Amino acid sequence: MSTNRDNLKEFFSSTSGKIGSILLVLFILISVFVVFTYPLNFGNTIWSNPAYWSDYPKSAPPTWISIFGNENVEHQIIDFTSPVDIVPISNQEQRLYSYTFNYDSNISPTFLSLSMYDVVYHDRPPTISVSILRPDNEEVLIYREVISPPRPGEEGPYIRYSDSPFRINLSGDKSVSSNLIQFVQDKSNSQISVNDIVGSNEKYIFSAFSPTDSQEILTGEYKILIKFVTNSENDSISKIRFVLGGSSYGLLGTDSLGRNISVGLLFGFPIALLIGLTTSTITTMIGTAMGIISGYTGGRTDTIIQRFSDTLSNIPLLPILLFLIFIFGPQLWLVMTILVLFGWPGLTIIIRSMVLQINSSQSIEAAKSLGASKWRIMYRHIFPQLAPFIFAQLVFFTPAAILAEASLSFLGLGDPSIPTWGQILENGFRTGGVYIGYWWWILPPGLLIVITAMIFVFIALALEPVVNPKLKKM
Amino acid sequence: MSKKTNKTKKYSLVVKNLNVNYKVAKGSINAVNNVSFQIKPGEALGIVGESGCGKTTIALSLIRLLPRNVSKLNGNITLNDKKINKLSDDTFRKTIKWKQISMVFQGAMNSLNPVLRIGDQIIEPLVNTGESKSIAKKSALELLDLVGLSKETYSKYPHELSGGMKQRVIIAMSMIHHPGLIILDEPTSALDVSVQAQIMNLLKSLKLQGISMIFITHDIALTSDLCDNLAVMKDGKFIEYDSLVNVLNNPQHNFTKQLIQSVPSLSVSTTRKISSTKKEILDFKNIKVDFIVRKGLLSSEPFTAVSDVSLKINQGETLALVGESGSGKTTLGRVALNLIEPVTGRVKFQGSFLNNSDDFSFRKKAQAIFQDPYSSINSFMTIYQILEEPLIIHNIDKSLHLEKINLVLKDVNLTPTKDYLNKYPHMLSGGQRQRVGIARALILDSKFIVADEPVSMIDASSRLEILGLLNNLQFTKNLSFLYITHDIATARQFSDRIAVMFFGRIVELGKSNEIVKNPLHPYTRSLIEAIPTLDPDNLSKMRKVISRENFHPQCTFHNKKSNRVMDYHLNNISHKCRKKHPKLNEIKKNHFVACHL
Amino acid sequence: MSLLQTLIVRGLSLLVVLITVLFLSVIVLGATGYSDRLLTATVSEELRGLRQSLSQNIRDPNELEQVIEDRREQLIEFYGLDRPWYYRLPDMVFRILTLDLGEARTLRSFTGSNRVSDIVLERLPNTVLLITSATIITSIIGLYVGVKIATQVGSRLERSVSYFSAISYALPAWWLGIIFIILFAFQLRILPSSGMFSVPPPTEPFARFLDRLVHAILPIFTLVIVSVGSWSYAVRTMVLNISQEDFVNVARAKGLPENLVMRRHIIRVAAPPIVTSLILGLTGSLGGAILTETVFGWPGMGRLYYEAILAADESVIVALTFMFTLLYVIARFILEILYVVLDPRVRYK
Repeated sequence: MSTNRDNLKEFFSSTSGKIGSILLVLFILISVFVVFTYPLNFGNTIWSNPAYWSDYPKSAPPTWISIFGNENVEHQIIDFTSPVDIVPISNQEQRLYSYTFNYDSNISPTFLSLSMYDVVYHDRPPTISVSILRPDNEEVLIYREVISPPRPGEEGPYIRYSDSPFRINLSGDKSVSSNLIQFVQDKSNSQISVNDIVGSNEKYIFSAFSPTDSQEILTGEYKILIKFVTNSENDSISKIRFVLGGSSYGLLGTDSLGRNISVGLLFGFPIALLIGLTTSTITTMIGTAMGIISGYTGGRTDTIIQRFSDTLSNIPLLPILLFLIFIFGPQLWLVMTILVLFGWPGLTIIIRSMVLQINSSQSIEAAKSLGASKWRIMYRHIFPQLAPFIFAQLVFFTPAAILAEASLSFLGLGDPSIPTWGQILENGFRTGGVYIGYWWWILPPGLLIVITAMIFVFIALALEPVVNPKLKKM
Repeated sequence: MSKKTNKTKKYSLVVKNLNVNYKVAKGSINAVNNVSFQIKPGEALGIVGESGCGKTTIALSLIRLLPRNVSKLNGNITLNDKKINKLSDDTFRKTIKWKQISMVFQGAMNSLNPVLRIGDQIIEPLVNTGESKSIAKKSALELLDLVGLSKETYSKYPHELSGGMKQRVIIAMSMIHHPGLIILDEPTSALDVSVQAQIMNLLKSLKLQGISMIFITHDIALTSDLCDNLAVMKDGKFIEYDSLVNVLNNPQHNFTKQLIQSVPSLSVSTTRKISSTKKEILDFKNIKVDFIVRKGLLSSEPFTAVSDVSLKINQGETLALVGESGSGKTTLGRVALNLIEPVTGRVKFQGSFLNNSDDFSFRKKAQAIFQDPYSSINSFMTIYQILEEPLIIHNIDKSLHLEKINLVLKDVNLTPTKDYLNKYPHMLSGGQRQRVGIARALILDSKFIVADEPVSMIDASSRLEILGLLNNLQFTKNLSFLYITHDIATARQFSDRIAVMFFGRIVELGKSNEIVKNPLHPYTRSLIEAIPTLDPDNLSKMRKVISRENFHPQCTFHNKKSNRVMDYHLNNISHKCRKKHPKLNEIKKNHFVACHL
Repeated sequence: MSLLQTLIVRGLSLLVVLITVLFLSVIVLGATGYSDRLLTATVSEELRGLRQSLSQNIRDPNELEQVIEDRREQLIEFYGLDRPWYYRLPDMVFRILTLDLGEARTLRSFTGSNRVSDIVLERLPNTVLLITSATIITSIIGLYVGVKIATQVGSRLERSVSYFSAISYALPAWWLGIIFIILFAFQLRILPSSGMFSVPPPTEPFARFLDRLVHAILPIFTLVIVSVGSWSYAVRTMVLNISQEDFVNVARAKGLPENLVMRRHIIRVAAPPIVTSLILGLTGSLGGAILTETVFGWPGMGRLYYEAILAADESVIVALTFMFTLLYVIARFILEILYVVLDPRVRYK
């Protein structure tokens, strides 16, 4: 028997104890950060909301892979809020926005898009036009649009795009293609129809039209010119956003919906810890209580608990878990409840047999003959003897719960309102990420699951000699 | 290998300057320090010492079974004028191990492979050297007969045998190659006194066949039954090594003297100041206790642990309940503490009947002292917490706690008390822990204490101290004790009356001195006969003992089959008790016997 | 307790497990209204068939409707749809027991049948093949490695197996499977990534066998890797525990050669607890199979489970839940028999 301080010392003296604790602290810090910075309904409003991710490149690998020499286009989001110039033309007003950038990649952007936010006009609808001034001094008109006119019966001022911005995908828009077609025909000296270029408009906008390589890109200084023509100086537009889709994005790339994988994975930290720790804590509590009561009280209570836990612990977990979640619907709390429901009996059986051993020890006999009540004996004389073991069990059950949820999510039964690592991985798997080679979508979530589980396994390993001194000799 | 001719081979062993070191976490331990001894053909050497003194290490180095962490091993071992310590491991295994030197290990319970039949384990070494299985079986059956076991034992599994039978099997097994030297490492530990005496008889008969022996034990009293020479070991050294007679009559070392003194003697008469009154504190009336034993899925049958016991304990008296394991003495103790309810019969405590409803107030009046000082006190609590526990349970005013705890610690001589209050049990020695256990029994000022083998798990050196302490406490506090023990010798020294229990019944009851000096019941006689005593004459005398193993458990005094050791029983009584349990009758004044004498 | 009695007790308690799962699923199905939907679907399926066959004989549409309506009422009564779900409990249990769960919504068997029993039973051998080969391979390697490292505690091999076993506890089979696919099928291109046969499958029997073998390598390898570490470690621990027993020392003292001591006095004694830990690992390997089959597109019951979830085919899911439990109970019982045979203490108690 040794004191708590010795135990702690012993625990931290092992490598696995050190690694486990450091990683656990790190994971907890990340989780705290996420809890304070993410909205509560992150799953529904952000992660599962395709509109939120529309301006992100789809299935883009992480930016840092350009280190390995891959061709890369930087993802650029250009926001225009104040015009560089305001030119009055008769009773109209033309507001000019512009942005100059150097394009030196030899592949085109993956897509182009334009969004308008909060347009307010009072009289006639304003017009917007977007053109690009290329390094060869060609100004190409890409897009021209009149803001939607007043509806019959609508009174001014007319407010447009305030709830959600008006977004147009310039790469795939047919009107953009028809704006471009003349320019493309002139440049390439060939008869090309609108249908030929729609869907890859951005390639033609950035093309060098080289006779040898049709894919060649014109590098140099580009300038985006946006003209917003209004009839009243009171008319306003809060923001215009122009996006040059990159070929890579962020730390861990994006999925096929353009979702930033690193953002989703970060959200998974507190969720994984929550699933693991809550489930294992409740399971251990129930398992311990049942085990002690069953072992100490004996008699009919014991028989009932024993039969019950025998049967429950013998049910193969995954099939029944799949069945129940399928029937009741994928909800995280339900998954956790079922894990607890089928998890406690295993512990109860072990605790019971330990209690039976303790029961025959003379310290319990002594407590009984002193007149201690049965609750006092269970709580004060039996429980402390089991406490280290129970704690180790709690740690050991944590990864099991995390892995069970991940497996469930992987089989497509994850709670859609709460993104977890398992779900992100499943999305990748179901989209065929494995076959296409979206490794950034498959490896990181799996790795995080494994590392999280490993943290607790390491801690459990370091606890083992503390809990079970017999092992020290081996 | 032929058997009959080898049976009388004589072996001598000379060990010179044996040193064994163990590597441990911090440096190394000198387990055996420059030990030299010799054994002449047919002689037995006893090595006595407390646990950890290195006596087992000597045995293991002789048969080359030392653990891996040995860092140093030197010295000369000569067997029959042949140096054997320089032999290669393989040669040693093929020529010496078990063939010339064999060993009986301590812990009969675990020395047999649980999944192999007894016979296969006995003949294994013989078959392994190329002997045919049928010849091996024949010699195994001979050996089983020699150690007093039936032929059926051959095809049984270890879990079907009792502890004594297992130890006999192990002895038979050690004889399969007819070795000249047998090392016996605590061959009787964890066995009942009667079984112990029977095993000692068996070993004695083997010795008479000319086998040399090394007898390792912690109990010096056993050595005079077997040994010609005696070595006393302490901290890896032989502190005393001479012929048995010399050591016993003229011990040189203090430690040896202490060991010899700790052996309870039956010849010295004791004087106990009798303070007991006629007023009884506890009164058992026709107590019967059954346990339900599950057999199979649905069937279960009751096992009677205590049957028809009537007994009174007077105020201020110590009554010793003497019996072997399974005699029901502990069960009766638990009945006295109201921890189990008898099936029939009543218990009267201080004049009123016990029942479970006034359990709680009774708990304050009767207390218990337990056998195992290591498991009977909660190792997660400090001494203060352990002693405060009864005060909390019985709602004693918190302001009085410290004062009471200090007082009671003084009573058990754990002073200065403040040194102990915040200690955990693992920081104390076994004897000190048992004092804490006694203090816990005293703190509620209870007048009646059940002490269940309070010293059997304590080092021999501090046993007498603890018993002396209990004795003193009894007189100063006018306590009554129910002293439960297997040891009739200490029972005589520390009790006023003795009740002998056998198969759940009391077979003899009377004044302690009277019972020991003039035992009437054959079982009591056997118990007394079985007590190991220090007397060089023991070497030439077989102890006439009977033990539980010789009886059918259903019928108390009915022997299972005719058996040599039963003669003692059968010579002394008629066979009436095969049909009917004898009643406890007062033969002399205050001397009761249950026997058809 | 006799050998037979012991086995009967074990068998009974496993039967209780099976029945519990059955009732649990039936009650859940009933209480959530799934069983109503299942039966209603069955009824309309039968009526559709009836309408087809009758439409040739009965020309008058009104008469046809009348006949069908009568039949519908008959069927509703027959299936007990006119009463609350709990009246149908025994019937439902029986239907699951006989896999009489009607027709799958969208899933089909390889031969094109849409009967649930056809679909499920057709996949059964593939799953059994996968689990048994993986378990046997794991046991053999685990036994060998476990015994080996038990004799060299503290060696590099022993330490690496300990770490590997800890890591494999945290390693989900499905993720490892994906990694293996990426590695062996796409990077090294030496093994097929999924399925059980090439497309098109070879026709010659031996080639067919080889083809199946090649496809089985990765899934089996995955299952073995995730469990072999902890398995070896468990064997090591049990062998070590036993080797500290007194009787092992006695066996050595008896002058027996070390390999005999190991075989007869350590491994033989460790066999019953080793079987126990096999029993404990059983649910794990069953779950592992579901996930591994999914990853590797192995056409077994596990993959079917995944497909049924995606297709929301409830009757197939019910059938699979039952079949997996049945599989577990049978495997468990075989191991229990093995245990009883190995341990005389159980046999003769």
